[in-house]
Amino acid sequence: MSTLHTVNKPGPAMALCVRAVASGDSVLLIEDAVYELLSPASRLNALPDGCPVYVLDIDAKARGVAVSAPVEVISYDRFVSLCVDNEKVLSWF
Amino acid sequence: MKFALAVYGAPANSQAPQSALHFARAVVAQGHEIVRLFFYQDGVNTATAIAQPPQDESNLPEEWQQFVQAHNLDAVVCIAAALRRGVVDQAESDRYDLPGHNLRKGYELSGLGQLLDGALMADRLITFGA
Repeated sequence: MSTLHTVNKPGPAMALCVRAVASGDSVLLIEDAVYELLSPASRLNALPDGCPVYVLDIDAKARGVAVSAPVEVISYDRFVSLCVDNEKVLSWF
Repeated sequence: MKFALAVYGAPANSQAPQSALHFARAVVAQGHEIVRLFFYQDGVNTATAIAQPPQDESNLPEEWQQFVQAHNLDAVVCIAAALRRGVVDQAESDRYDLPGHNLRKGYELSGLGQLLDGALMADRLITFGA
């Protein structure tokens, strides 16, 4: 059973999320969580293999954060699809 | 698919109501159903009728109300969170002998049980934290 984890800020919320992610889960960075991509020592590096990381396009653009592979930039439409494709959604904030 | 949305942040100091509105529009556009909106903690400020954001900024309470009414959504505002923040309907205003009421039309004050009820009714509960 896969879970979509949404995170809306860097720091403790991100740390707690990473501890809870299991192989096969997905992580979506929204709002201030996109700043996590600026950190060389990002907690995202600690994610298990096979966990795709997504970023909401308008939140990344609004903050001037560049996104590079393997992180994928997505729209709100895709956010909804990810909610459908995963059996559960957990929000970290 | 059935969605329930919970909003925990206020328009003036959190992106939560804006993110939730973007998401809700995408949910409806894809033909899914929103079975419950629940405004909790500072999120109750989304339902006030008397906030006036500057004219060159988006008016999220207004946009949210238009969305709620256009799609005839079940929009619940946590009554305990609302009372302590000064968001009241006519009945609560009368009960506490307050000088007015400011809950926008289309919303209903009710208890936290409605969040649990929404979680049980929906296939997915998406929370937009402060």
